[in-house]
Amino acid sequence: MKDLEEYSGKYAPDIKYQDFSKDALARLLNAYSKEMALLSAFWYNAVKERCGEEQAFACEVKVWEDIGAPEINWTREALNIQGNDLNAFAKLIEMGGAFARDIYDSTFDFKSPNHVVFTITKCPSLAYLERHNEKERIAKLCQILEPASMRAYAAAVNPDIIITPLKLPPRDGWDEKGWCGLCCQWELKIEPNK
Amino acid sequence: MKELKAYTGDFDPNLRLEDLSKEVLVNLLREYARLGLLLEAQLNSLISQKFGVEAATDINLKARLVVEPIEMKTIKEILGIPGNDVVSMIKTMQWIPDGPLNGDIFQLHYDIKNNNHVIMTVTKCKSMEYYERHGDEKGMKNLCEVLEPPIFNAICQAINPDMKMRPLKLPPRKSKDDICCQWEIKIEPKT
Repeated sequence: MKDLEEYSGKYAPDIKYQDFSKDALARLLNAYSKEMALLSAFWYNAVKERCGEEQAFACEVKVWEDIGAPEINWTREALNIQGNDLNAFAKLIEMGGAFARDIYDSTFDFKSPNHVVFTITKCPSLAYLERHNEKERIAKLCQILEPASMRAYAAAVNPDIIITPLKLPPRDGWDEKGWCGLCCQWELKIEPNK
Repeated sequence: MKELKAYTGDFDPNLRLEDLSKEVLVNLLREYARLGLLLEAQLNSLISQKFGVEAATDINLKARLVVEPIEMKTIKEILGIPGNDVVSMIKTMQWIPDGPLNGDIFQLHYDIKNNNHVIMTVTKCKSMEYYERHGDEKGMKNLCEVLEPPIFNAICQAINPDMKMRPLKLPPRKSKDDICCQWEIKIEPKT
């Protein structure tokens, strides 16, 4: 098996993913993950231009709700991630294609096996919208789309996971509250008797 | 360097992609590529249901004309593919998430006449075969005549603004043993 760092030589009709080094494959994975974010954003823009903002947002929410279960299941298969507890949820979100690892930063604070606080500390989408002062879009994305999508992803791992937003943008006054560096924060719980 | 064959055990906040074995990284690449295709298919289907096929085609085209060139430039850079001729373009196109390496959606054959002139023959195309199976000529026309030619040209021009891709043969085909479509790719400097 070859370990190509790059594809600089002749065109190889039979080349396979396996012919590349792990480092090159990791770079490709990050590129594929970013492509998903781009696809969603540019589809949203194109739908908005033709059908209006309301319809574009409705499609965006529906698609991200629908994609949660396949993404969780395919990531499980690819990495053989077992279980349906919060440990499995954290691993599946960490490795999923839609949560590009070199775009977003996050932490999972395990209070107990059945209680986790999930914090996103870097979100370029939010930073972009803040820079452009798109307050209405921030409110829709962070307060409607993200909770709907998070619930879909959590339900695909375990329907008994209860996910509650603790802090959601807009981030007006967050620094004064001591919430510097946070983009959003979520509490995940599984009731032990369920 | 670790060589994890699976992600069992506890959540590891410091896990790097490079800690996974090559086999697992390849599985994950196929999963990410499939997810991108699913996202696009879901959006297309949703818009078609709500606003009709024509609106979905128009929206799909607008979005992909922006995304595909970004994708080509990114992949060319991260895989260190040099040059801006036709062969550099087909080398880059091998790795796009909806390209020929993703499962068995497409099978392609390239006849390289020289670095600036290539004939690309698509011998298998699941998208076209779907429309063929359902006798959906309108869907096929939208895909093969409305969407693909401008998208292929945008893909070429992301590598070289003078590169053009022209259809030599487009569906419908006469028999299932026939090829799906055929394209000529050339560098044609503006005069």
